[in-house]
Amino acid sequence: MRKTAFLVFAILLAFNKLQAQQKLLIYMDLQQTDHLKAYGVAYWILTKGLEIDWLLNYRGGSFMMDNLDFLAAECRVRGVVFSEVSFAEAAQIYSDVQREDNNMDVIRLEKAPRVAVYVPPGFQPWDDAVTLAIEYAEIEYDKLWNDEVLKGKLFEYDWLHLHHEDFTGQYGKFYASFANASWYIEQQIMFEKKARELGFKKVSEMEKAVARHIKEYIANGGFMFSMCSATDTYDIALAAEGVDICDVMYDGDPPDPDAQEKLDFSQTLAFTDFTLERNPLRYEYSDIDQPPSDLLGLQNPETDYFTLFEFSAKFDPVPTMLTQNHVNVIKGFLGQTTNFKKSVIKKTVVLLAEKEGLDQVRYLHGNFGRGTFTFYGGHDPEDYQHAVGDPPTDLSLHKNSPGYRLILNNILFPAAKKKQRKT
Amino acid sequence: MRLFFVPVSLVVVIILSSVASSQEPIRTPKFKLAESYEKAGKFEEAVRLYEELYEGQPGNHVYFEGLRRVYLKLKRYNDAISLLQKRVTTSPGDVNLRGMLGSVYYKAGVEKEATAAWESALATDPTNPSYYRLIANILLENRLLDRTAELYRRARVACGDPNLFTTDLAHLLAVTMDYDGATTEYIRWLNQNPTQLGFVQSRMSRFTGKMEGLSAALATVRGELEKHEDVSLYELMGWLYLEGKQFHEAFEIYKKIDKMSRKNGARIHAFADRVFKEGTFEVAAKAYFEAINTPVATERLPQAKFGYASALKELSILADTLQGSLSIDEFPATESQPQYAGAIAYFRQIISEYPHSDFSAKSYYQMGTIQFERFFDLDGSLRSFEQVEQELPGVNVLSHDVSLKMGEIFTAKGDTAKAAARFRTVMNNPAAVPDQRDEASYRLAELEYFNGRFQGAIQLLEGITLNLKADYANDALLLLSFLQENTMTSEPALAQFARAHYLARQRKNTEAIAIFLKVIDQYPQALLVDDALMKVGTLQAEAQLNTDAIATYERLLEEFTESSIALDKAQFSIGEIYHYKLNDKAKAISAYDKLLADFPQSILTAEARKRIRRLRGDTL
Repeated sequence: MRKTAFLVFAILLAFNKLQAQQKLLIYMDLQQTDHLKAYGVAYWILTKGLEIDWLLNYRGGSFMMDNLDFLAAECRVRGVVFSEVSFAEAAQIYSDVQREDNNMDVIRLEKAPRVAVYVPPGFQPWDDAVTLAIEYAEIEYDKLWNDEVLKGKLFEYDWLHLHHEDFTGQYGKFYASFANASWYIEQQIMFEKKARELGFKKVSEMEKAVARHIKEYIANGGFMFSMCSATDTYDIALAAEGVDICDVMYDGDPPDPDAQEKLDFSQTLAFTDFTLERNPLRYEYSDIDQPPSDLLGLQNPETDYFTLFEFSAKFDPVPTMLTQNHVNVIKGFLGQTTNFKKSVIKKTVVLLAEKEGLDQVRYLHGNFGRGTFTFYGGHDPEDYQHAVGDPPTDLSLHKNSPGYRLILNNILFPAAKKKQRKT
Repeated sequence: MRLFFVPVSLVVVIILSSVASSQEPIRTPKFKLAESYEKAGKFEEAVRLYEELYEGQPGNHVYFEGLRRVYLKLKRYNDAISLLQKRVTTSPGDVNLRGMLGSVYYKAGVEKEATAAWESALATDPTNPSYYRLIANILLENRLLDRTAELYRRARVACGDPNLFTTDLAHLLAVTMDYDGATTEYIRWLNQNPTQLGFVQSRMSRFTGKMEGLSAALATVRGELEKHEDVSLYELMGWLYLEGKQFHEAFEIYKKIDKMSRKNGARIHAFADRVFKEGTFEVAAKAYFEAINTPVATERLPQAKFGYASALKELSILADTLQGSLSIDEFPATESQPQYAGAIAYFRQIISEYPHSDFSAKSYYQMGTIQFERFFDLDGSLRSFEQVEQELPGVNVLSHDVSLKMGEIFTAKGDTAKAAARFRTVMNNPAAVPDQRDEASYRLAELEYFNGRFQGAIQLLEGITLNLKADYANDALLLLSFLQENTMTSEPALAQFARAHYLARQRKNTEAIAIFLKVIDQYPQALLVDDALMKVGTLQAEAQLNTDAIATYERLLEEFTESSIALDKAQFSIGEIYHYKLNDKAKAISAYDKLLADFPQSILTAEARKRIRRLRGDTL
C-alpha cells in the first residue's frame, strides 16, 4: 500500500513537472532585451511548422508558444528574453487576454509569410529600413525588381515591401542635387536600359506598369507595405495612368501641361485630390507629403513625435496587430515622404498613427480587393535625417526601436489565421 | 554729291532697320506678356502671342525660339516640326537647326525622320569635328547614349583622327557600364599622353571599385599588353592589381616595371613597403627579397633587408598554429614555431653587415622581442636588448621600449630590483611618452604586489587611474579593485596569492598551481578563492591539462554559485576548452548555451552567441 501511494505520488510529481513548464512567453514590453530579434524568432518558429499565439496588447504584444528546448535555446542565441510559464499560468494569461473587459485578444500565427522586397539591382540594404529590419531579425526574403513583377512572380509571395522607390519615373527627384553624381547617372542609365529591354519607351511608363501589377497583386490577396517615397509616388503613378507628369530631364520631353487635371484619383489606393509638384527641380512629388521635403530642416527632432491610435483588439484585430508596441508615442524620423496630409487621404483608409494636433498622418492601412496595403512615412526610424551616402544604421544599437517594431508587425501580420471579423 | 548721299543714307537706314527687325528682340508689351505667360506655365496663352509675334517678324530669332520652346512644352510636335522645317529652308547651312529638328522628330516618336535630320546636319560638312560634337550633344540630351558613342567612333573615321573624342567617349562608356570600352579609350589617351597616368587612374577609379569594372579593365589592359609592351600600360596594370588587392599578380608587374624603367629594384622596394603596410607579408617578403637581390641602390639596401626580416617575422607569427584562438599571454613557449629562426637569422645578418647603425639596433630589438615573447628565452632576449643599448647608446627612439622590455625580463627572472630600476627610469623620464610612463608605473605596481607591498602597489595604481583614457587605466583599475578588496579582508591569503601569481608570471606553472590550491584550502572564506580557482583553471588549460581545467572551472561554478563574480568567465572558459582545444563542437555549444541561460547579463553573451552561430555553421 505504502509502495503504491509512493508510485502515484511520483507519477503526479512527474506530471506536474511536465505541466509546470508547458509554455514559453516572449514578452514584448519594456523588459524585452531585443524586440526586433523577437519578431525574427517568431518568424523562425513559423518556418519550423509550429504555431504561435500573438497576444495582442498583452505586455506589448507578446508571443506565446509551446516550450520546447530548442526554441528556448534559439531565443538565448538570438538574445531574446522569455519566461517559461506553467500550464496554469498560461491558462490564466489566456483567460485575462480574452476577458471582455480587457482590450486584448489572441491571434494564432500559422505560417511563415513568403517575403519579397522590391529593389533595383545593386541596392544596398542600409538604404532601406525594412531590409535592415528583416536582415537584423533574420527573416528570409527575396529581392524582386521590374522583370519579376511584370512576369507575375509577385504572386508567389504573401508580403511585398516597397521602400524608397519612385514610381513616377523621376528618379527620386534628385536631379537638382545629384544630376552629376555618378550613382545618379548610372541609376538613370540602368533604368532606361531596363525600360527599353522590357519594351517601354520611357522609364515612367515601365514604373506605372509595375505599379499596376502590384495593384493587381493586392487585389488578389497580397499584402503590400510601403515606406517613405514608395507610398505617395505609388499612388501618384496610379493616378497618372496615361498622363506624362515627368519633365524633360527625366524622360526627354516636357510634361503634359494639363497633367494635374488629367489625374484619375479613382485608381489610387490611399490618396485623393492631391496636387502634383510641377517644379522638376524641387525635391517633392506632390502635396501629400507633410511637411514638404525642402522644409524638413525646420523640424525639431527634440519635439518630433507621433502617436499610435488604439484599436479594439477584439473588434479590429488587423489595425491592432499593426500597432503593437511597447510605447504608443514614437520618436519621429524624416524621409523624402514623411507624413501624409490628412485631407488628401481617402475616407476608406484606416489611420494608424498621426502627429497629434496637426494635419499629418504617419502610418495608415487600407484594403483593396482581397488584399491590404500599409503606408508608413519616413525613411529610417533610428536615423532622424538619413541622407544619401550616410552610413548604415546599426540595429544592434537599436534593439528596442518602437519605430522599427511597426515595420516588423507588418511582416507577421500576413501569418495570422483569418478570423471572422466582428465589425 | 547730294544725289549720291541721299540714296546711300537711305540704304544704310533700310539695312539697319532690317538688321534690327531680324536680329534684335523687340521688347514690345506683347512679347513681355508672352514671356511672362511662359514663365507662369500658361503655355496656351503664350503660344498665341508668340505665334502673332512670329507671324509679324518671321526673321526674328527670339520670337522663333520662344515659339519653338512653347510648342515643345505643349507637346505640339507637328507645329514645332513645321516651324523648324521652314527655318531650315531659309537657313539651310544652320547645323544647329537641323539638329533641333531631328530632336523634335525624335520626341514626336518618328525616329527615321529624326535620324535623317541629324544626318543632313552632318552632311553639311562631314569632316568637321565640331558638327559631330553638336549632334552628339543633341543625342545625349535625348538619352541616346549608344548612338552617341557610335557617332563619336564614326567621327574618328570621317575626320581621319583616330584619337578624336577620346575622353568624351571614355566617360560615356564608363557611365553606360561598358568598362571594357572605357578602358580601351583611357589606354588610347595614355598612349597619346604617357605622363597622364594619374589622370587616367583617377578617371578609372570611378569604376574599378566594382568587381565587374575591375575585371573588365584588367582584361582590356592585359589584351593591350599582348599587342605591345609599354611601361605606362604596365603601370596601369600594376595599379589595377593593387586596387583589386591582387598582390601576387601586382608583384610580377612591378618586377617588369622596375626592369623596363631601369630602376634597379627601387620600384620593387616601394611596392614591398606598400604591400607590407597592407599586411600581405608573404608578397612583401618576396618583393623585399627581389629588391635585395636585384640589388637596389646601396643606400636603400639596409632598409630593404630590414623590411625583409620584418616580413619574415610577421609570417612566423601568422604561421603559429595557436595564433588567433588564444591571446599571446596564453602561449606555451614550447609550442612556438621554428619559423622565427629565419627572421632571427636575417636580423643577425643585418647586424653583422651594418654594425652600430639604426638597422642593427632595430634588428636587436626585434630579435629580443621574439626571444622573449615567443620563446621565453630570458637570457637570450636580455642579451639582445642590451645590445640595442650598445649599438645606439644614449636616449633614442628605442631606449624607453627597451627599458620596459628589460624590466619585464628581469621580473620574469626574479630580479625585481633590476626590474624596478628599469621601470623607474622610464616612469621618471619626462622624455618618455605618457603611455610608456603609465606602463612603467603599472609594471612597478605589479612588482610591489608580487612582493607583498600592497599599499605601495595601490598608490601607484591610483596614479594611473587618474586618467581613465590611458591605455593602462583598465588593467590598473582591475588590479586596484582586487587589491583594495582583499587587503581589507584577508591580507595573508592575498600575500600567498601574489606569490603564486608571480610564479605563474615566471611560467613556473606547477608551483603556482600548488600554491593557488593551497590558498583555496587554507582560506576558504577569502574573497579571492574564486580568483585562485580561475587562475588554476587557466594555468591547467595552458599546460594542456584540459580535463583538469574543466573540472576546476566546474568546481568554481558549483562551490561559488552565490559568491563569485567570475562564474560567467568560468563557464565561458569551459566552452573555449571544448571549442578550441578538444574540438568538441556539441559540448562547446552546450557550454556556451549554458552561459546564455545562466548568466544572461554577462558581457560575454555577445561573444558566446557569435561562437554558437559559428559552430552551428549559420550563414547569417
